Amino acid sequence: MQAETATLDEAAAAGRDERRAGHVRAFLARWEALLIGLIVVTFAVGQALSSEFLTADSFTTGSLDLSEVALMALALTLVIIAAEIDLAVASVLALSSALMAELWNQGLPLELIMPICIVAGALCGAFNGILVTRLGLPSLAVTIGTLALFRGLAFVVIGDASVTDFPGVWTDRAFGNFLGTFIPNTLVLIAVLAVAFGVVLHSTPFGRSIYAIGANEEASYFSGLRVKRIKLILFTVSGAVAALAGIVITLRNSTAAANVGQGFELTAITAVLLGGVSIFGGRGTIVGVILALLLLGGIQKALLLSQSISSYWIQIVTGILLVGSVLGPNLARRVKETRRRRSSQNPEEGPK
Amino acid sequence: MINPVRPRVLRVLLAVLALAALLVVSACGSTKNDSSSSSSSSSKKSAGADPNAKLKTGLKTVSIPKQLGNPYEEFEHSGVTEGMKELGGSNRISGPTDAAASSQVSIINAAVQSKPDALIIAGNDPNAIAPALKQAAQKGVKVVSMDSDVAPDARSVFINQVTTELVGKNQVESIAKQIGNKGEIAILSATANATNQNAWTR
Repeated sequence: MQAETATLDEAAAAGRDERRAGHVRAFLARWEALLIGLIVVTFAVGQALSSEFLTADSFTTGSLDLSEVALMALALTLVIIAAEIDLAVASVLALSSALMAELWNQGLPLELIMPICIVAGALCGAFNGILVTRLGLPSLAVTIGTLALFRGLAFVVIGDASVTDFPGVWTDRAFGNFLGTFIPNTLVLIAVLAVAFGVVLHSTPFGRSIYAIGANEEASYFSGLRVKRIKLILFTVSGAVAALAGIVITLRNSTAAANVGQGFELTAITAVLLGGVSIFGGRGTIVGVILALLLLGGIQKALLLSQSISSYWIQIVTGILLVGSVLGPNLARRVKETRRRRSSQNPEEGPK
Repeated sequence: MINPVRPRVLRVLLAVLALAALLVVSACGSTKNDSSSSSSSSSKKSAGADPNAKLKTGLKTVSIPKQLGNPYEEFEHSGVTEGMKELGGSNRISGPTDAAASSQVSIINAAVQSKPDALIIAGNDPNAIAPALKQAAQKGVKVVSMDSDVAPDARSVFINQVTTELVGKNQVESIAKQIGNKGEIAILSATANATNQNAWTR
């Protein structure tokens, strides 16, 4: 799949030479290897901190804890590769939860409520997408605005109340394990979506267009890609997936409330960037993001299980990882570029 | 939060709470000090329990506040630690950094994995954390809620430091005094789903 990334770069940045493509390929390979190394270290440290770390129990509860973030991160990966961002995902999650509660109180069947929530989430995402693509506003500003807007709407829908009388059949499904194994049902859902997003991103023309847009939007536009429409689709999908995450967290906790999942967007973005997706777009893989989620989950669980480390450290370590994942590749690229410029006196080779 | 109870009084009260928590753990079901207004009859409250039974020493507990860094919660849970120390056991405080139910669930799951004798928890949401607490009970960990109750079937006993009605009444009375018995008042609450705060507000 790295080879495809390279092909894309060639197409998008029309005329950029072979060396850069090779460079991207090598970089990605190294980044994923680095993540695997970090995961091994984390697991070793985790096991040293608590003998309970490498257990099925840890795996089950740890993956449940991250399930909503993982879902949102998958959709966000596509958005960020297209050089946009969606900060409103956690608020869409809350709005979906609130809507679910309200419709449940109205007496609608849950099987009907869930698709309604997902459609509502898709509409929220499309709203972001329209503001970004049709009005040409920066997605950072738009989604900071809708972050507050959707969260506010969630409070309008159910206020301070929390609704807890969801049917046990469904809450058990969200909380339970897959066919008697220690693998939670939510993880199966995540795996299905991960495969779907992976296939779309890495082996369809649509996925290639996403990379191309992220690498160079203007070049993509002049090459005939429907940049605006593709971005609109990505925001819509992001909203729909966030709403799905809202359904999952509501059923998993058997509680719907407007204040659910505050700050989840930042964890999701951390996972995406840590997974080797460039914040400037055009680069990254689903596999990398999944590895990053595994790493984050491992760190969280290790710190939670340790007897002496306060849970403040989860935030500190997550923060360090986020900065590191943006800084690391950036520094590496700079070093490489200066070195290359020195060795080959090619004036066209400068950074874009 | 206006707190009419003086710190020393509170500290004594907390020691009592910790003692009561221990009684529950060792005798499995003292009804003493359970001033919960709800008429919950938990299945674990066996009628024959002796509140004066000798305590096991060396008990390990984990107490889970609503949130780290909240002065009231810190004080309350440090009281549990002190009480446990006095009684020859040990307590570890492990709380979430935000007062959200979902963060508390992760903390509960991790705490249960460390196999304590009991969990002492101030709940952020009565129902959202119930499944995790029930799983804890299945694994032989006694669950004591305090300060802010959880769903009655998810814990053995609830220890209330002061009836929620009393807090609300006292607060309204003192406010009424300050504003001369008339005018509108605004009520500020912290976590929308916390049992105790909702009851105070009412």
